[in-house]
Amino acid sequence: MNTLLDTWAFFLRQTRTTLRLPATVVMSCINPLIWMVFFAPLFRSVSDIPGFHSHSYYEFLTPGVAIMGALFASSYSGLSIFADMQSGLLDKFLATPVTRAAILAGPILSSALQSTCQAAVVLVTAVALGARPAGGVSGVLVMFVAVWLLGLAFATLSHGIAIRVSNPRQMFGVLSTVLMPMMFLSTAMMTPALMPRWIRVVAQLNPVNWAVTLSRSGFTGALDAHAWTPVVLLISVVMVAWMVAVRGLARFESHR
Amino acid sequence: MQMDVFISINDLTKIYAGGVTALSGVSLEVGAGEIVALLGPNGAGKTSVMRILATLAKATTGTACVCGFDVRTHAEEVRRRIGYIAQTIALDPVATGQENLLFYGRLFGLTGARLRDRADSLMALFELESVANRQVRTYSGGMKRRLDLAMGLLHVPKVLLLDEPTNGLDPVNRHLLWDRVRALAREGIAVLLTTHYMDEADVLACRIAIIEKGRVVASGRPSDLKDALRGDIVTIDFIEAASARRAQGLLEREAGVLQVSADTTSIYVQVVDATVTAPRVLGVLKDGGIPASRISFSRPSLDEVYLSATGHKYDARGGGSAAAQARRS
Repeated sequence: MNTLLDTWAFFLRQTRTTLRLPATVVMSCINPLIWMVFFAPLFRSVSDIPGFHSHSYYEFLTPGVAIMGALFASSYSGLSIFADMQSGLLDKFLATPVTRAAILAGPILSSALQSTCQAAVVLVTAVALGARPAGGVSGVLVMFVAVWLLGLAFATLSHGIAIRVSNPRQMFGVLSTVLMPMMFLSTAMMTPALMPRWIRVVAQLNPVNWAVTLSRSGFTGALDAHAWTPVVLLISVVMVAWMVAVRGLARFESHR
Repeated sequence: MQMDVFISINDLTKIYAGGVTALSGVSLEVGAGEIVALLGPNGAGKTSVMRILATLAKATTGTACVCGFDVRTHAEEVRRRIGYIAQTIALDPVATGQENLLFYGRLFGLTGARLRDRADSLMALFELESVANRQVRTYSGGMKRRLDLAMGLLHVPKVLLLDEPTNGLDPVNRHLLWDRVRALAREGIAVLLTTHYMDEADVLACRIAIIEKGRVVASGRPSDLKDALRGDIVTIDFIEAASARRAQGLLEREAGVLQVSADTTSIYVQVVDATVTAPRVLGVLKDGGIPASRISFSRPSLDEVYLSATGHKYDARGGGSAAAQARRS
């Protein structure tokens, strides 16, 4: 019970902080919108290529951009715990009887919620641009589940890394190098049939691709029995990332 | 009547990674309702003591207990009983003062009307009611420190750990904070504070422990420490350090002189009675051909206590910053 109440307190704190910094909210929504408004028209003819299994590039791109927004926003979310470390707030929290896991879980859940809100903005924009979710309401909900799971996984990883680095520049360096390839080595922008074979193989191992597959299956109404596979895989990533983050905090606490 | 001991530190040592020794065998007790000051320059080891008591750092050897609970084995019990105010004011800048208080209270399991009432009364106590709904980033330094202190008191701790609480505060806020700390001690809270201000330790503390390079070199009531230095202090300034050294050598042999300490171009002559000995001291200097640039007399202050205990004059900036750097790294 204490863990839940403590997590709720940290969740509210992080959400309030995010909402009080409007620039952060606006910027996190603008990035995916740029892809929808500029990238999609530029590449809309891709859907005319034989082998591209969608008649509308907007409809193809929407679930991918929703995942992409979650990937970028959640991957940088760990910087909030770094800020708490630098300001002395983390020490202040650690000198209280608060459940240690809540210090991580609250901001991670808040970041995952932020990702789903971003996905809602992407969805509204896509519908305004003419995209229609063939999967209906349930399909859109599946897309949100995919966004939430990926947001959760990468926010957790991000917190696990942030608590181990002594300088945020190290983290920026790693993320800027890793995130773009992760996105392009997935089916976020391109159908697997038109990908080089090696990218298709690598994409099978890419958590971003698992989330895109689930998101697109829901949005386009192509859900089948295999839809559970990415769900299970993403939950596994969340669990591994959680262990990394919890150990990072324990290490931070004990090595002083 | 036997006083309840709320803080008990026994032979505490702290050696940081890299081999820097921050504490070497520190022992200390603080009773209920007592204010004890750890006085020392930067890097002396004061913050290491506080962080160990706050369960934020682990001692290398020795024990530290709060209300009978060992900080190492019963950390959670300790955390429930302490209010820890760190040297750096740590607050949520985009949250309001009241939101900061309510959030922090929840970390101690406080909820509902009890939490709100407690937060409101602390806001009133620290004269922050008018700014309670303003974001903390708009607060002055004094307001932030008062809010920081209010947060440390939300859960009604038995022990208050104040790490240089008045550092950087203006005189008005400094005195306001002193008044609040005295009032808390009267309520039975044990207060351990660190400071590098001599006057703060002298005015506020029931007892002082002077800490120097990780060791407690003198401890006791401020008045006892000063009384222990019998007689008066004659301070003589010279133009050159060589003159001070020569004067020290000559005066150490003089009748009526208890002790002579030197600090670059000044010497501090502890004498039985300045009115009798000072003219003789001046005569010795004249006969020795050592011109003094300035001479003054005083009753022993904590400066002299520090000088007597450490052999050098007090410098708040300290020379032992290696320990501080090791702690921060």
